[in-house]
Amino acid sequence: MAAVQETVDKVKSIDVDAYKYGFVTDIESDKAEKGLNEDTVRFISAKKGEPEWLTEWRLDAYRRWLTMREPTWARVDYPKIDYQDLYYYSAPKSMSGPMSLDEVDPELLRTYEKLGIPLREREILAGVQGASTRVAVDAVFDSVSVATTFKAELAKAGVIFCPISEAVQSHPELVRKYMGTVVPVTDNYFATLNSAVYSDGSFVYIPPGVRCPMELSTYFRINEQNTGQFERTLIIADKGSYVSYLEGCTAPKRDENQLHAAVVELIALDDAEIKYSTVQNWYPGDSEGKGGIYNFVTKRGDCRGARSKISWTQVETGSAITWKYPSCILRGDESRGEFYSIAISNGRQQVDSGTKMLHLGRNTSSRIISKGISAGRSNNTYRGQVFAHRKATGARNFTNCDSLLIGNKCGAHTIPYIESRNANAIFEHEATTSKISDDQLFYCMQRGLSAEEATALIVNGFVRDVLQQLPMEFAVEAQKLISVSLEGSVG
Amino acid sequence: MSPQQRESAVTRVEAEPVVATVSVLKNEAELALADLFSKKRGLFIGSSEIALRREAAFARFAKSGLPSKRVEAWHYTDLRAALRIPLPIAEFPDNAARALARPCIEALRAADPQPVTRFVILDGIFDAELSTSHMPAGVSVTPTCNSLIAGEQRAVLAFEAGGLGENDPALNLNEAFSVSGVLIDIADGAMIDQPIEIVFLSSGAHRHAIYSRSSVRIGEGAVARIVERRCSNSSVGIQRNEALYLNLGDRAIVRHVAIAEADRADCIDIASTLLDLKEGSELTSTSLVHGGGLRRRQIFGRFNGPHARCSLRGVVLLGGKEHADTTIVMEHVAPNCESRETFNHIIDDEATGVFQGKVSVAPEAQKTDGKMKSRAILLSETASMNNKPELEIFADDVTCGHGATCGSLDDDQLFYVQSRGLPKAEAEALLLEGFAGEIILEIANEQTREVLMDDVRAWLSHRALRGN
Amino acid sequence: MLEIINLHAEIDGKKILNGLTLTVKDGEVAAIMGPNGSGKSTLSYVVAGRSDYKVTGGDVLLNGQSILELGAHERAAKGLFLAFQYPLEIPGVTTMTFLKASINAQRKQRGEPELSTPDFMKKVRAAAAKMGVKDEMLRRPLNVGFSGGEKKRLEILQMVLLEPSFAILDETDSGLDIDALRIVGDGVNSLRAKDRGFLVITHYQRLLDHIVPDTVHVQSQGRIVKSGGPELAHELEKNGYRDYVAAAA
Repeated sequence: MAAVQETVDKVKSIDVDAYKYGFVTDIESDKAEKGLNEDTVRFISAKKGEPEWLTEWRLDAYRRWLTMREPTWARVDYPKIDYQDLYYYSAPKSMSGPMSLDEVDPELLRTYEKLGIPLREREILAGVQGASTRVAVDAVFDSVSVATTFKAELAKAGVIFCPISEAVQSHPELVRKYMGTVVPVTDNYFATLNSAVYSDGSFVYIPPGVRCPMELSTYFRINEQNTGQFERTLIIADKGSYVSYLEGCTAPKRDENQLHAAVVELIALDDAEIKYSTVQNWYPGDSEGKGGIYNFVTKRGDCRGARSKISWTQVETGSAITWKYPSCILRGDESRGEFYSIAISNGRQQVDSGTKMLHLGRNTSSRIISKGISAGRSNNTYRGQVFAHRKATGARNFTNCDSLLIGNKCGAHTIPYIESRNANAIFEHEATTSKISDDQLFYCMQRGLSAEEATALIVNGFVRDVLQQLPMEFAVEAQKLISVSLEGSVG
Repeated sequence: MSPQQRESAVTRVEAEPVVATVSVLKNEAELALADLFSKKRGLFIGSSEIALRREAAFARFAKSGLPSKRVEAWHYTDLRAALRIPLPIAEFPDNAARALARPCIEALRAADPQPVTRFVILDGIFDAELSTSHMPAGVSVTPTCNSLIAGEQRAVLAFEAGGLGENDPALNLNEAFSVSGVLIDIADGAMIDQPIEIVFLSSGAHRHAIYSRSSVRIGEGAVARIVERRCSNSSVGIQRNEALYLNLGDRAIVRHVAIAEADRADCIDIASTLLDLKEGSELTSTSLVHGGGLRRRQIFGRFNGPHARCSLRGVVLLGGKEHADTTIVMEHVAPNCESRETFNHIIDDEATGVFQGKVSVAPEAQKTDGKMKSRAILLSETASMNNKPELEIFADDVTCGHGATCGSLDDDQLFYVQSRGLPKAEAEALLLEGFAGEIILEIANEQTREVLMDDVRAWLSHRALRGN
Repeated sequence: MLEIINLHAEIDGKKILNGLTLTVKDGEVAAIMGPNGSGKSTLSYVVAGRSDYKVTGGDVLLNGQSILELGAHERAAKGLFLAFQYPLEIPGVTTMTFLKASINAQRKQRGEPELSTPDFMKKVRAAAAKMGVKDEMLRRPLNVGFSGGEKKRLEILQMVLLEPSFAILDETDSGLDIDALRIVGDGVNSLRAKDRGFLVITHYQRLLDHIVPDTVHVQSQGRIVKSGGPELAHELEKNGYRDYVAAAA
């Protein structure tokens, strides 16, 4: 029908101009030599002044990585990555490590302002009223953390929020106890690579019984050319604590593909709750599929304690390729895992994303709501595993995956693996695929909305269940992002 | 399970490639099959075209090897692990085999509530003596081997089977090794009232591997009822790999019933059904499948013309250590077609059920209507169910969906029935009978329906006797 | 004022409108009646700008200006409203959100400032009370799970809010019980004004008991075959459309 045809035509002409974070910051940087070998690993470890156990841990990972093969099972297609043609460490030259904000290169502060992430606490406080909406930010620029806000105030509550490189120095016992226990060093090709060369990332520890007084957030920015970003995040919520954590990401427009292979580990002890929200807006490449980020990320949460809860919410609009399955290991009895996802693909983007809910403990429950939207010539795959162990009596899962297609050159795929080893586990799964009907579009247009406004409105309705899971400020941002991502997808 | 093992088990989706890219024949079974093929290749009957097809099929097999769980389509049925030693290929049935088979067929005849046109494939070879000799008007039949020897085109068509499932390793072996089966032709416009039953019977006389290839062409506008029955009389473990190609012409209407009787624990049984659906054709299929050591029922279907409809429904009953895998791939390449898959599993003891259903919709298959539903009831703490309903969609104007549930019997329902005076075991049996009945009661033919329901009831009472 | 001049239109190569001419003046309520398949709904779609219908001849003027080149949303902003025979469901979008988006999209196109939330709420509440639409309904996703009557009432509520200069009601009476019919009729009557025209498309006379038309037209085979006053509707109710179907053939 006509409206769909226009959509298809318009999608063909989609322009990277829609990506407004594509600028480059001109700043001198300190880089490791190109390529990867044991010296690179030692170089990174030395730069961070790491203890010997960690250097060895990295080297073990590197040696293991050499024996592994890149996974090919995901429904994504990309030219072979030359791992020797990448920089594995890049830091703004002016930065030798985290410092006070007054010492941070003003060029960097300007970059974050441009991205809408003010790092000066004074400015944040001036901008909003009431303390409840404050967000503490850890800003990671290429391979290093450049600033972390509200540290002092958080420390008062006993919350540790700092770059992981700093945590290695200041809280080695916590890092050593938990790092690699959720995503083992040998877990998969990209996680193992990350273990060898990870540069920085955030570390969070919430002490027993503490409700984190503000939202915590990390903002990732890849700037340097030919540089892989390998950050590592570790969040530990001790007994009875609560934290809500937000992650945002952008990168400049570049013709070359850039690799992002992060690892995120969450650990929730008895009665603790972690809410992890991501708005992923890496550069998606242009309409012909040139450039863009390869986002190969391993995110996993371990509900280690009884009655613990981990909730993942993600809004995925960027990246040329997304390979990502934020998962929950429901080990503690009565623990709960949630996964809420909106994945939008346009242009030539390829998304293979989903989750794993692994029910090991008794009376564990999980919920998966996934909304995939494909436009342009993109392919969007939901891949998810729900598993009940023999001992997971009383496990419950509810899964709902809906796909929406805009145009006739894209694909939407649903591949669930539902595996039950327990008669008293109850799994329910439903999935649908549909399109925005011309009747719906015409109805909205008859009321005065343009085709683009009508599409955005209908899509927002489609993803509403998930948007409601995001913290307020993030939900507004995500809603705008959805409109931008679909710009040019209708005539 | 140690924590390490558990970790590796639970991290599978990320940690393991599910699709093997490069694989060469390397394990003993694969080498033995290659050896067998090279010894047999000069002796197979059939035209040079068939010989080329066999070569190509075996080459495809050689490239993929025996499928392990790393192969996405065989994720839950590890044939590579199960088929350690390929058995020799079955010889022409001897007197001993015939003697064992005859009572089975007589029992079938005696149990017949209705006249049936029956074709018997004994140990992979069409057996004229055990089969019906008088054909209804409009039905003609040739043993696959005769057609191969005569160099007929229809044998080629049966092997080609519209290219359906041509990347499946088991089907490739079937194409490479099959020499017999039956080719049935139903004339255009024929209305065949009597059910046409194809019995795949293994005599159990010898330990061997059985391959056969059969086809039914249902002419334009023809109407037929087809029953596919798998019987095993084995007192020994055997390996079966048999394929049936159902080729529906324009506007043909087929009611299909498939029955697979229980197999021994040391049997491997792979049954492939290939569905070729032309414009306006309609297939309704209902199956009742019991378990075996390793049983796999795979259906590869394609809508080759618009406005065709296909409904596949099935009940799977598993107990002991049985394993049964139902894998369906329905390809929509023409617009305005409708596919339905509805499967109910009842799984007891340490049995494992597998349901994989993939609906794929090509860009040109607009207005596709596809719905899939898989439900499983697990009756024991050690029963397992693996569900993988898959959608692969490239057309935007479609309505497709799937649902899957898995759990125990509903406590509220059970209580309700018990409160009306039924003891627990009977209440359970009643609910399970209803669960199976949801599928079976849709069969239009009352006698067939009752035969299948009796089978379900027998299974349930047997279960009760085992003391569950 | 709506002027339809010798309008020809087709869909998928099939001709539906064959030279339809009709003028509805400001302040006038015109009714179009006709048998099933006479192209009544097509007429409303073509006038409102559904893009899959192809206009092959003629013109449509709204307030003296041709609107055929305009998109559906632009026609809406010019004051054209269509009450759908089958209002669409939009999951996840609450009725309130939809109403606000519509009003402000039209205001934006007309270069008017957007309504503030309090002003909007005041306006909606007033209109909803008049139409017997409960608050709870406004918070539900648009038309999802609404009964046939609720959907139609909501269409009229939208018309009241959007204050069009010309409104087309396509079979608004279908699926309505007597009470709903009265509410819908009252809603339409309250909007009758000197500078506003209505085109009421219906198969039956009964809606016209509530919305008394100034003129009645009979459509058959894509043309107006007879025009008259309200008495024509009664005649049709008694004698059916047979004569007109024959006349058009």
